[in-house]
Amino acid sequence: MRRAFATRFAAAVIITATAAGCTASATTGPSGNSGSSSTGQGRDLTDAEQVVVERAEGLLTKKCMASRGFSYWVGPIASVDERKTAVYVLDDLAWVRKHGYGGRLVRAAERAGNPNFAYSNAFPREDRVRYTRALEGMPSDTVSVELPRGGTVEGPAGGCRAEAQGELYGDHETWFRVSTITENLAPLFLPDLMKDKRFVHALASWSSCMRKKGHDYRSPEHLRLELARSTDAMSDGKAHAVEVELATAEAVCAGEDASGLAATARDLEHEYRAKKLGPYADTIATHQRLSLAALARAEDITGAAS
Amino acid sequence: MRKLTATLATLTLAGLGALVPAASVQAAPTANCDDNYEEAKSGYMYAYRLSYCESYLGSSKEWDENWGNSSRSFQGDDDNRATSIVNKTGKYVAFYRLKDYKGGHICIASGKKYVSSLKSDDVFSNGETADNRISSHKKLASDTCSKFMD
Repeated sequence: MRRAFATRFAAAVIITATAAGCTASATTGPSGNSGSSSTGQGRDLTDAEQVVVERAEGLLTKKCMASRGFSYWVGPIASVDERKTAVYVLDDLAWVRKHGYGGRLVRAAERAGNPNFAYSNAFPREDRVRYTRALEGMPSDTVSVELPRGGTVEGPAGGCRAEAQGELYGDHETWFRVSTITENLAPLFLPDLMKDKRFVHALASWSSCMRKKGHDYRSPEHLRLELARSTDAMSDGKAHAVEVELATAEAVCAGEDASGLAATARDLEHEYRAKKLGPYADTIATHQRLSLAALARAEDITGAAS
Repeated sequence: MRKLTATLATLTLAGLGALVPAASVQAAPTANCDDNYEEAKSGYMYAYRLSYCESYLGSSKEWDENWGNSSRSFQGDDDNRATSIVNKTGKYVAFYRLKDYKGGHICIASGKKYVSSLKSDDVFSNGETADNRISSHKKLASDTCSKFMD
């Protein structure tokens, strides 16, 4: 699944921070997903469209699993709001005042759990094996793709989930290849972006703004790491109140009237993607084309199902 | 790729089945990981002390910030002992060189069912080999890893 470019940016920042010896938890915040395109004539799906596609994939998987004698529940599928919890820095004041860093949404999703897990885990060993094969194919039936910066990512080539993706995207193997590569392009440009003086300056300005508000953090990812530690033992209500206070400060400091960090990060990502990802233009274009085709099919599927 | 190579080996053996006695055909060494994966509980990650998913170390459906303490799924001498991994979480799982998710990291992708043996080229992002050096783990969003188990 391809997320907004801002999401990718957040992810890659985590990569950089971790590689540098820091630690980081999941970044949160509105994705600002506008269906932007870094190359070509296509576009990425919005978060709302992505929800429709994932629901359709679930419905196709459910139909397939039923044909093999198993129940299957569509979901859990992250809501649009839950998907807004993955950008580098927050700047949507209305959203953060309501959701903070989205922790309450995440905790609610965790409490709800995955009914498919509960269902299959209740099976005796032999039936669990049959269920796994129906959903994912035989263990040796895999598809793999080399990542741009090295390493291999592997996935099931058979089973109901792969069949559902094949029906939705037209070609499962091609979809697996282009989606995996597209999701792993950030390491190709992020290290240079984070050394860019414009980014360094905006980040320092954001940090200074936060300090003046009584919150001493080097960066948004530093804040999130400390937040996760400090709220771990808190009640849901208390954790949410802490989140809202910090997230609001973060968003104010990231805005145009303060550091401008959010806009700077978005502009630089657009610039660096255009500059660095030329060799992957075809892959990105194919990803966008397959995604939009899947959306059209998904709208039919979910419309028929509702 | 390790698993496709194993598949090819299996197919080759099957093709030769008419020529050699069945008893001489040995299962691929990864067959145990295949079995363990299929029998594993959904949502869980399993770690093993030895290659080919032998010698069960522990399993976790959440996270463990310290494999060497006395809390959560991995405890005491589980620290720095894992050599093979089964991943049925449906998520990316990041493993760290040190406790509290510090040191370098290396991930197993959501679609990768297992790593039958951590090898010399399976190194953390800080350059250290991962075999017998995992000290903490947690699930991650799909695209937050820079280094993957091969």
